[in-house]
Amino acid sequence: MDATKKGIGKNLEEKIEHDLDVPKETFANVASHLPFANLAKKGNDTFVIEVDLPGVSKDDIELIVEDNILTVKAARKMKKEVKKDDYYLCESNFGIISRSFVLPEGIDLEKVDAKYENGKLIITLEKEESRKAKKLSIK
Amino acid sequence: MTRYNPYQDSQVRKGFEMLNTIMGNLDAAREESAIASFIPAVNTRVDDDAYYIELDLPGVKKDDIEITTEDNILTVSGERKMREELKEDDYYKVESRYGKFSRSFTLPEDADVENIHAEMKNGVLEVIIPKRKDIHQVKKIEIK
Repeated sequence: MDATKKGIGKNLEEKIEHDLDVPKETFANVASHLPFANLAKKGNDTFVIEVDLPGVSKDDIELIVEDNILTVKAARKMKKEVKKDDYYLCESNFGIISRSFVLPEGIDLEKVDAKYENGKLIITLEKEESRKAKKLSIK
Repeated sequence: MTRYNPYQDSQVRKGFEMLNTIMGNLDAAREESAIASFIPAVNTRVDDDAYYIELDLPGVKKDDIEITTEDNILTVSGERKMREELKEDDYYKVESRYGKFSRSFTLPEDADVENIHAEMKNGVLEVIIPKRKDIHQVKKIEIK
């Protein structure tokens, strides 16, 4: 009786562990494709998004705004003449990188500015002129 | 009153010494973690001509990187600083790590230390260590 109980317990444990492998792997994959980002606010009307994209060529970065969601898509490629097998230590993640940001209300899409320098993408967003905080003079 | 037991006394002292060592180690670990808050990812590869070390250093300026060799150890160190355009208070979410970093590599026997060079592109530093060709030269010795 006790033996069967133990057996069931062990089986259950193994099954749970096995079933957890799939989500674990999925999460690891998802996480590896998320670049680090820093968000800043300059004054009341300017927002800055910094995304770490080391080893990515400028041409392999895509910026898309849909509704109020800004998506950065990039691909980190290996050098043409290099294969993955040539590496004997590989800590970086190669392949597709993607991250989305929800934009604050009233961003002027015509004024979105993005520059890529030293492996960092810097996106500057500005509020629409009509939404900017204004100082009113008192007469 | 108990009899003086030198053994017991030394046990107590040993206990204190152990505690001190543990505390000392904790302090050292804390200092180390402050230095190692940013650890660049490293990729290494080799081909027929050279060894290649790539380090991910996004946002690090060339002037803030130092490459040194001592004996057969190559060390890349430097500091990842925040952008000067913004103040630290302007950030409301920071995921990147900043601070001093250092990574060391043991050079293989056939590394041509004199001709090591490095390139920085798109936030990745590539250190190229050419292989010395003359190391396995076979010398024939004539018998007179």
